[in-house]
Amino acid sequence: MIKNHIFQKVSLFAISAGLLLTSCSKDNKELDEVANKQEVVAVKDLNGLDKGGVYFSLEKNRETEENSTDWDIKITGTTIGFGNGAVGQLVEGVLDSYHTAPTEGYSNSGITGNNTYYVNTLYNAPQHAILMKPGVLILVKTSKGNYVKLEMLSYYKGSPNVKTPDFADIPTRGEKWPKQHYTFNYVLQSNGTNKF
Amino acid sequence: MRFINCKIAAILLLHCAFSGEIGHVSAQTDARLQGQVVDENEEPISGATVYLLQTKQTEKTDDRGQFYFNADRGSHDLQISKIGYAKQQYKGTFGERKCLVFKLLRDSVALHEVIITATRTEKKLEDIPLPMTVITKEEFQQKGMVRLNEVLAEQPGVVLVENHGTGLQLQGFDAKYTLILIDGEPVIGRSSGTLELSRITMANVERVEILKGPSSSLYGSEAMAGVVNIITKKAVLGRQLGAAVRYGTHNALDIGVDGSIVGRKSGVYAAFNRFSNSGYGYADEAVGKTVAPFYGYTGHVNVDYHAIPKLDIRLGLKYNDEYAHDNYKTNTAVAQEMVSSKFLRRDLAFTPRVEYRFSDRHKSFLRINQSLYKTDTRIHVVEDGKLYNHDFFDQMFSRIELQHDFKVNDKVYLTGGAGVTDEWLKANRYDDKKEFKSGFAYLQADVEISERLNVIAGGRFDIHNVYDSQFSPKIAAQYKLLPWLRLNSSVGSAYKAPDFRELYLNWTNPTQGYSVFGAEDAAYKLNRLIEAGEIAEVLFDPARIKALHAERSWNYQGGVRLSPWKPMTISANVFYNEVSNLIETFVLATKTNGKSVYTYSNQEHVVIKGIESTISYKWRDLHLQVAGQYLRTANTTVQDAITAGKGYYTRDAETGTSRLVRPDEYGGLFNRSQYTGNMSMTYNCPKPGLVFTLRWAYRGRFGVRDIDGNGILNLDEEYAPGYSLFNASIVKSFYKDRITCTLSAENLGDVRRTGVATMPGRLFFAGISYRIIN
Repeated sequence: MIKNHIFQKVSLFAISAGLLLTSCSKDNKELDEVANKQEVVAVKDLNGLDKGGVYFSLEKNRETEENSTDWDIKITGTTIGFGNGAVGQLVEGVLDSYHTAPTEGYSNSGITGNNTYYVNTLYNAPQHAILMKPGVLILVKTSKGNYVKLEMLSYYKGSPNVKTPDFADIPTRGEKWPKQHYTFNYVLQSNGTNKF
Repeated sequence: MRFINCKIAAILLLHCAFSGEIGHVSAQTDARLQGQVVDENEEPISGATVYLLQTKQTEKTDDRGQFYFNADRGSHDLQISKIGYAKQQYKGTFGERKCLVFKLLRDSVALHEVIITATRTEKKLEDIPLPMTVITKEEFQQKGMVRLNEVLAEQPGVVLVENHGTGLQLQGFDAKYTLILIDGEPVIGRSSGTLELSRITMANVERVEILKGPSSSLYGSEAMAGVVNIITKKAVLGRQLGAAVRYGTHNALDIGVDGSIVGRKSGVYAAFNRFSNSGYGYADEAVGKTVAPFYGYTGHVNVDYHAIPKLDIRLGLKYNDEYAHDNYKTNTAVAQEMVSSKFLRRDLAFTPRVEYRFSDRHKSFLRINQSLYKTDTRIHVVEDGKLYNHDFFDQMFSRIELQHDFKVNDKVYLTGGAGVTDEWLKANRYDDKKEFKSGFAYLQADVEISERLNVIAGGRFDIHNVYDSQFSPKIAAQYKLLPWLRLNSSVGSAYKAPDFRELYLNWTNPTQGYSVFGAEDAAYKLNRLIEAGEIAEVLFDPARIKALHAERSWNYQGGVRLSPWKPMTISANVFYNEVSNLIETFVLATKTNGKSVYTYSNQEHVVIKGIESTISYKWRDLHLQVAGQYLRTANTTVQDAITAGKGYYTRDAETGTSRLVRPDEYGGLFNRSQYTGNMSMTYNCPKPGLVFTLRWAYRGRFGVRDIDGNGILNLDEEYAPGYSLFNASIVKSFYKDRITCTLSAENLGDVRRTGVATMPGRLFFAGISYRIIN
């Protein structure tokens, strides 16, 4: 389980606000308790570079082969595709405080393009970098029909600090932090409901 | 240099020679006293107020500068005044058929500056209820400045910014919101809203007036942040000829000649300037420079003709050419090719003007402006000479305008005007010739409600063939609380019309592949792309693209100007601007190549507020000025969302996970510094005839990038650090001030910023000017 300061802050805030607004605190606590029950799965540096893409089963939390019937998502370059009956969509939110998945709006067409879940910085510093957009969640309905909330964290191996001058240096960036190594967090609700 | 107006002096001349020649003296048989008021060139001054102290009578001089009183002959004390001239008291002995001639000298510009920009009429700087800065010829010559960008770089509330050229950010507004005028006529030719300031030479300039605050009530579109009006030199009677040259780092060479021949009825002023630079870069690259080598010419001719005493005609012609040449490697993914680029920019303005004075109370100005602006860039592949890219832009601006000034009485002054404008452009980034037709009318009343309170109120109505009609009102007041303390305040509204680019642009970036369409044609252009199968997904229904409205601002200002003791003046001004309907790009569709299709819409609502203060101190030969500005900006749409806790996220530094941006993290608009400051010290050492200046300009940190992908400024790493620039100069005058040598240095601290053309490192210049005929 990932230690999350923000989550603690949010909880603290909810509790302190609750001292003033009792009716409010009850709802928040209930939601927090629900959220606490699911585990945040952290996937680090999933290598999509060597084979030109990577297939991943969210249900089993492991990389699979292309011909497997398990995989829910495949990531090729900056495109996130869905397979084996899995569908997905983009929503706005933060992993910890996102509690209700929509039941509609999913599609099996891949998510791609600048300014979707990532930003291509183009000529803005750090130039020509793929940065994961904060506040964007990918919601997936797996092949088994379970809901998953997923946050992409990094496109580069080792999840480098993108604010440093080192990272801004394009010629050496690729050597230090090879691209297409995906780091993400996700939460799977295995009971089939859309509540996290 | 000889500065004619430097010293205030009044000379009483007792000439009787004129009296016999005055034709209509007999018509004034009952007038027992008569006299004439002339200026330093013996030209009659009309409309001067003559006050007889003993009898408490007041009269005005007529077109010949003459006045008549029904009073006893003999010795009288007189007081003669006119705006723009030093008020003087005289003693005169009036005899029969004797005409006394009184000479009235122009105010020293430095002391009681007469400003034209704020009200479109002549008004003393201290009486203007709006924040203004005036930079005189003396000042920029002492500081060794030769181009407009150098002059503006050191002014309070002004920051030079780079966006398709060097423009000025005035009180936190982008360059496109400041109107640039030369002798009251707009300068055309902007690239992405920026008018390249180095285009304008100071060689033929008398002074630069900067009016801060919305001025659409007089000038229409673009005057949202303010107006910079460049007043060219006025030729004086006789013959003059001067030459100046300045040479410095990067082989920056500026050569100028100007001269005039002025008679009693007509005069000609001509100036010529050549400006060149061998270019410079930041990295030591073998090829390709940040600023390519360039050379440019400016020519300026004014012909004045006083046809009859009531009628003045002036023909103005100004041209400016610039050529740049560079070799560099293309930077596309496909191939790296060596290319050679040739750039031409041409700017031509013909500005005839007629002034007719019906009487002391009525005068009219007819002004015509016919301007042409073009750029042409040709890029050839070096290897085979093949044309790689050709970019051209032709713009024409025509305006005819009639202004009438009516002095109702000593307390009420009305200024009104109306005109029509026709503007078109042809460019490769536009489908065909695009044209704007507009008309306008304005009215302003300057009312002296009491000795202490002066109110100026006015408004302008603009009608346009493409976007909505605009009405821009403004009211300003000055209250003299104490003889040394004045309070100013104003409320006004201004607008910025959608420009050709926002309405009609049709451009696909050849190397990046994205497309930008003006709002008027975007739906049609998008449908064409859909038909061509180039669109992957339409993200916004093109039928819902709305016609663009003008950007509109409301501005509130309040200020104080005080001079607690003579050598010191302090001014402080608080400003608050609310801008709505800001025009921004948005994504219309995604192309099959993964790139976006953009168009423009009215979206954002922005608040820009701040305080600016200047302290000026003169002690003997030392002049010290310190100024600072504190600025806060915010996109209110963004700010409201952040306050409500939605819409804007960042990544936690430790865990890398998303979280909401906190309200205190929001840094407002990009490229704005919260703190800016200037200091200027001028020491005029009269004995060896030396002038030293030392100046400092500070700019605090400013947002330059978005690292966390939320599109807003919220991380410390998203700011560029602040910097200080130090400039200095030494001026030595010889030979009755006819020869002036100048040594100057810019950016002594050698501050460099990649990509900031205004900061190419330390620069040294040496210059000499010579008044060949005085």
